[in-house]
Amino acid sequence: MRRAGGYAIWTSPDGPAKEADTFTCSHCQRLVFVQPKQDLGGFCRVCMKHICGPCADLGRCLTWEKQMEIAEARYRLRKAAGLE
Amino acid sequence: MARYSAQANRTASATLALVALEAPATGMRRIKLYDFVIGCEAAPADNPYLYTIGRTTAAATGTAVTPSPIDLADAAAAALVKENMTTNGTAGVNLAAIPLNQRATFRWVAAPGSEFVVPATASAGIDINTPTMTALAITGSILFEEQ
Repeated sequence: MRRAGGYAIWTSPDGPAKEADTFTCSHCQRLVFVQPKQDLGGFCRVCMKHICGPCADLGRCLTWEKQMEIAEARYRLRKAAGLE
Repeated sequence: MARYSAQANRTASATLALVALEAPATGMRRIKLYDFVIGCEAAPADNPYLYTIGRTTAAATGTAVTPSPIDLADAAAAALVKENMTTNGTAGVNLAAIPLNQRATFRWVAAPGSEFVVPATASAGIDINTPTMTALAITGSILFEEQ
């Protein structure tokens, strides 16, 4: 995979190590293991990043970065209101 | 952006998490988990293990582990790392499921920009969980970065 988002390696005494490229879904951060000729899920043309199958099915772009900004803003608001 | 390493152990339990990485109640920062290694330290045997990496929305209860800064000039980590859990954190979204034989070891390394990121909100975190496992001692190492 070109510009993989990560690398995974399984080491076992029963055989050679198994290796796979990975990417982290830009929308939900699920880890996707990339195997040759496998359906990768999807590619978001809004954030221009790889996304997992379930996020591709949603048909919208809500990046994890944006979700964190929303969660942090909500947390600051609740803290300011004395609810946290 | 300081980087830290921590090692966690879990003694015999079939369900309690191996390690929890959490934002503290105050002074939290975003935490990026970018590398972990998991495996079993018990005598070799053929047992099916399933590790899951998941988000947590409330803190776990366990023994605190002090993360070591990779660069000794960095300050102590704000993030909380826990091992030998007595109560798991409240489970959120699963990020990965890794089925393993007991004899096997797994390592994942993220490329820059593809880490698992924990938002800077109190008690948000990530744990390495073991929903299907024989009650044997397991060990894991994590590397993370604070933003």
